[in-house]
Amino acid sequence: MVRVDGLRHAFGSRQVLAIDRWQVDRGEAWLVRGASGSGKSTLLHVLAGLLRPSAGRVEIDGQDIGALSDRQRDALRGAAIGIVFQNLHLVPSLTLRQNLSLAPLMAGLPSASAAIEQRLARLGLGRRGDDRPAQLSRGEMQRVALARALINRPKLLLADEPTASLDDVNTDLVATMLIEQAAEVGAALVVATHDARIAPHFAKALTLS
Amino acid sequence: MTLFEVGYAYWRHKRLAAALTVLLTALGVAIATAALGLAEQLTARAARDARGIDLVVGAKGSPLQLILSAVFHADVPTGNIALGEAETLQRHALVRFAIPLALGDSVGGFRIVGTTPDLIAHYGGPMASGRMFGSSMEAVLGAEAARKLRAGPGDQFIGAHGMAEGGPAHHDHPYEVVGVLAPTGTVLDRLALTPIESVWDVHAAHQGPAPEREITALLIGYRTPLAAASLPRQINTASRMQAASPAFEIARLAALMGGGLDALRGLAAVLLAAGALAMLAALVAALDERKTDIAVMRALGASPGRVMRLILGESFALAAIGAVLGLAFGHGALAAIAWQAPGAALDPWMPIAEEGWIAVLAMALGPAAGLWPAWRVYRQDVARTLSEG
Ligand SMILES: Nc1ncnc2c1ncn2[C@@H]1O[C@H](COP(=O)(O)OP(=O)(O)OP(=O)(O)O)[C@@H](O)[C@H]1O
Ligand SMILES: [Mg+2]
Repeated sequence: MVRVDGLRHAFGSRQVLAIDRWQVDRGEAWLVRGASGSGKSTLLHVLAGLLRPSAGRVEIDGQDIGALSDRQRDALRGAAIGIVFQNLHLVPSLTLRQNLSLAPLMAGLPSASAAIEQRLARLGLGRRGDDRPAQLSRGEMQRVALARALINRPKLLLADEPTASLDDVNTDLVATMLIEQAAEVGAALVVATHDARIAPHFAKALTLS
Repeated sequence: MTLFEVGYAYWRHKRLAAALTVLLTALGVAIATAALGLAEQLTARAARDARGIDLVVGAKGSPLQLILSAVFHADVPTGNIALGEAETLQRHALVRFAIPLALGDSVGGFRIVGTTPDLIAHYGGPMASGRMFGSSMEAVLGAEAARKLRAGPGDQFIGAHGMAEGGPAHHDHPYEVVGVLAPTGTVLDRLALTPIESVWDVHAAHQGPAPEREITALLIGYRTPLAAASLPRQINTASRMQAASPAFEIARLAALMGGGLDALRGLAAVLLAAGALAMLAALVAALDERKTDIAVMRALGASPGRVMRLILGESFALAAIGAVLGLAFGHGALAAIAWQAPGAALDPWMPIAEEGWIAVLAMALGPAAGLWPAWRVYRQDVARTLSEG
């Protein structure tokens, strides 16, 4: 699903990322760990095609993303990659239903109203589709953000610090939810975190330094 | 969901900013519309008042003053001319018609014009009620004069000396209203018309019989356009009278005021530009606030082009709403002016020549204002914005 060869990235003259070989297979769940500033977020941005690395080859779903045009990379990201941000980044002016609809709309995919209603119901938010994010608890927002990342049934789910500022119980819940739901749509999962508490949930880990 | 709904949801969320932006655009469009509409209609009105009158003959003096007083009834006359001389001119071979005017008095701010039924026929005003004046001291009121004076057939009114309200009154010589004219959209609406003898009788009673009968002016139509080449010069050089061409004097006046009209257009353009700047400010502020939303859209797979379309579409929609509201406000302002100053005989709902351009310009300024913010979105470092939170 993901293949990385000789990946290097530098901001200016400062190298922040160096991975010689790394491979994530279909359906695997990986933890990317490392101290703050070790390049975890940078790696996720490269995988998402939001950042062109300084050197190296990155393959997503068999495609060398360095060889894709900007437009093709945007399309690949929309169709094959889901992202959950640390700050969730739900759009405040849109209702929950609209926040979920944003995913197919922006990816240029057919609207998935049935799937959206089903997901809302599964999250226990079936009656709150017209609420705005500000009306939700942090935990509910977390679930909506995850649902949005999964609506397009991506092959790769990226999560950056999904458990920052959560207590132990919620950290476990979120980690479990990520792994279960990624498995449900058959997506490979890459979670970047410096949070040691979720390590036990993952069999595979890449440590950056 | 569509892109449109995404934009709509945002501006609904930010209704205050949206309303202010739309209002500023609307204000620019409204003032431009009202100012240009006013100028245009007053010009058209002047043309209506002067239509068919080739030449005005009156006492020597300023030709512009002669036209203003005898055609538009907006200035004091240059003086009087001898009836004999006027009658000679009426029989001139090059003259198709010559309508005499005797001015000097007014009622409630409306001028009393001693004339013949020909003047009414010239402007084509049918009677709304009553009949045409026949003998001395009978009067026919223009539509607006009748409305304002609340007078109709059978009523009497007292003339006041002079053109303004509040001159010494001719109490011993009341006029009797015998008819009221239908509105014509010309100066006729604001006149009180009476046989020329009425004016003579009123003034004879006050100043004693004049040594020689006088009138104020003649409105002349040529029998042939060739008359323009000789008749005015003939009158101006070989008589004690002055001849002035309304078309020429209006053109002179328009040239004088043309600068004003250009200034008005300039002001309109500045106001539209101010509206566009307000739009730009609103869009830039909105964009800073929405940086994250837009980064999320990019993360969800939107191309920069799709996001630009969203921003440009929003700015176009805001500008279009502003333009439509502005046109409505502009015509509303004209309606208010028309109501305040019925004398101007404005038609507030008549489309204005520049209207299409104002609307097109306002709508084009929207996306123009949106270009720079959209470009900034295009250049945005999505990865960085997303991790900043
Ligand atoms: N756009 C950028 N320009 C310059 N330097 C950057 C940029 N983004 C990140 N960096 C730097 O690159 C290094 C790696 O950043 P990155 O965000 O990948 O680390 P991280 O492992 O995610 O850290 P954290 O655990 O704090 O989130 C940091 O030193 C950071 O300051
Ligand atoms: Mg990070």
